[in-house]
Amino acid sequence: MNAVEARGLSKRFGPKLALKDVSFDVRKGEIMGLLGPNGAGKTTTVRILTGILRPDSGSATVMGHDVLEEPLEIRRCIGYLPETPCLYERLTVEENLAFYGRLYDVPEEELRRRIRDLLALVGLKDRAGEKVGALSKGLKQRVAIVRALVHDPPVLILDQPTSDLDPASAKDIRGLIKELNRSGKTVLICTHNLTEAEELCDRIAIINEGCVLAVGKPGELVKDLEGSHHSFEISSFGSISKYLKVIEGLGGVLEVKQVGEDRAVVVLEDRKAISAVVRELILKGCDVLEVRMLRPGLEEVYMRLVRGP
Amino acid sequence: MRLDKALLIAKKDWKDAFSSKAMLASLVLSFALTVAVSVLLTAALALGPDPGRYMTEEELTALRAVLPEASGMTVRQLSAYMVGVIIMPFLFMTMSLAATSILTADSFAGERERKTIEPLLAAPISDSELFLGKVLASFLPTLTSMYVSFGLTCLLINMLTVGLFGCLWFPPLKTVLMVCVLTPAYAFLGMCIVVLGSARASTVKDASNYAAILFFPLLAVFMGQVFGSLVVRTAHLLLAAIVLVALDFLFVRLARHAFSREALIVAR
Ligand SMILES: Nc1ncnc2c1ncn2[C@@H]1O[C@H](COP(=O)(O)OP(=O)(O)OP(=O)(O)O)[C@@H](O)[C@H]1O
Ligand SMILES: [Mg+2]
Repeated sequence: MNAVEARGLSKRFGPKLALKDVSFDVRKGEIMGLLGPNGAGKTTTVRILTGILRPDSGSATVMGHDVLEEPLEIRRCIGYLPETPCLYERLTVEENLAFYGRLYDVPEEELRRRIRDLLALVGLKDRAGEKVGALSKGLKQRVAIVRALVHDPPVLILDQPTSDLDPASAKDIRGLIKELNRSGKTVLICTHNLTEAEELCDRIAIINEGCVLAVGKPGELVKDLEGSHHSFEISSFGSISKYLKVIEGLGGVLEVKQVGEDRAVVVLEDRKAISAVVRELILKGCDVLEVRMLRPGLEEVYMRLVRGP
Repeated sequence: MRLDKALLIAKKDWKDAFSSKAMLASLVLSFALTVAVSVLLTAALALGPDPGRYMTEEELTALRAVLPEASGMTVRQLSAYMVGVIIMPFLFMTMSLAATSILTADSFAGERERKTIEPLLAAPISDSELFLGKVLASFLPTLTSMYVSFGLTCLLINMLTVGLFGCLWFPPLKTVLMVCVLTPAYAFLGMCIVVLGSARASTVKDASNYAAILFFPLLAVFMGQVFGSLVVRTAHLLLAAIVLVALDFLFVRLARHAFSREALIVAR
């Protein structure tokens, strides 16, 4: 059984079709990323999974519970961090957390212990009595994460947990997410941050305009893209312009672009053709300095899928 | 439906709303003022200079006409009686209506305005538990303050006027009906209207304004009595109570219907 299964989810807001036939799985114990630009439908998807929105069609389960049939069970399984911290600013950190703990039926003693331990985990040990309104954005985000953890759920759904945070705080939060994952939590994380997706996620689903465009391990997605074309950057001592014609004429060469006075990028059908290209350049008198294979990153995959080739 | 979950939400709302000293002060002050005005006015008329001096014969006749049950009273008694059955219930009704609508707007539209609703909707509680929690949060503080201040008013008025009437006369049945039955029923209707409004309005201020339309019928009944053209009898009040309770049932259903998870999160 997968931790989360989404099958053919569609959702319309008035004239706007926000989700079209979205399907994906989150396996138990993994960190899965929903990666997509603004307005892609990430938040809408996770709101359906938490039972806040009803899908127009399609179905979804979380830990085997159906979102439409058993909303209370699925909500108990999920720790949800919305896009904004959503804390009661006029209440203290502890009051916020205790309120949610009680809503989730955490026994009082256990609750007090958990609040203490979790606040210590996120570095807010001494701030329990402070009003949330007095905390900085980054600290509020940490409190909101603790709120998502207070009932010790097996699945965490985090909607852009590090947006709005400074690089150091974002790094801390990513570290925390990894640690929670290691301790056995399944994580579904929405993000438009490629580095974050690459660093954190075991698998990602790239989503745009309400459609899932690709699902896989970051490495696999890159490899799939690599399968169709191979780019090399060749640099030489001195100008390379007069050799461009030579390269263009060779078999297996799809494209040649000059990217600097002494550098050109060659796109090949098959990477083995690079040897022939280099041999020919040397024969023609070009002083080759360096040949480097350009590996596409997740960014290329993402740009290609989201923007088109 | 689990009452403890609803109460948990209500308690959270009270803590949240009353952590703002202004909110607490306005609730306490508005009822303190109602008590003070009612008691001072009664005291002035019952113990001060003869109220007959300020009224013409026609005015007295008109007053006796709208309060037929007080036909045997002296001018002094009649004046105190008028405060107890016309002015005081009007004050209690308007104050309760205002207090409930402010609290309701804070509880329903406030969660939306302050963007705190989403994790609450993701928590394992049913829509009905959430709704009941919010209703209790909005309604109980007003109801409690109202009954406490009414009790206090009764005590003080009786202390001041037991000599004048020769007995503990306050509250008469009409006042009991208006304050103890009609006022809560009316405030409850106001609450439902604000809940319906909260589904449309995005700010607390806009939402609390919806109940203002309920102020005008009250004012009309008050003015009608003061100007001597409206006689309110016990039977009228009983009828009003039945109509109001029916309206309460209708409107609370409408409000419950407008209060769905999806409606709370989807922007308009
Ligand atoms: N409540 C709503 N009412 C109307 N349209 C909505 C609503 N919520 C989302 N949408 C629309 O649905 C689409 C998907 O929105 P969604 O919030 O899911 O995107 P997202 O991927 O979370 O974007 P972001 O990265 O900006 O958070 C958008 O076009 C948005 O305008
Ligand atoms: Mg979003």
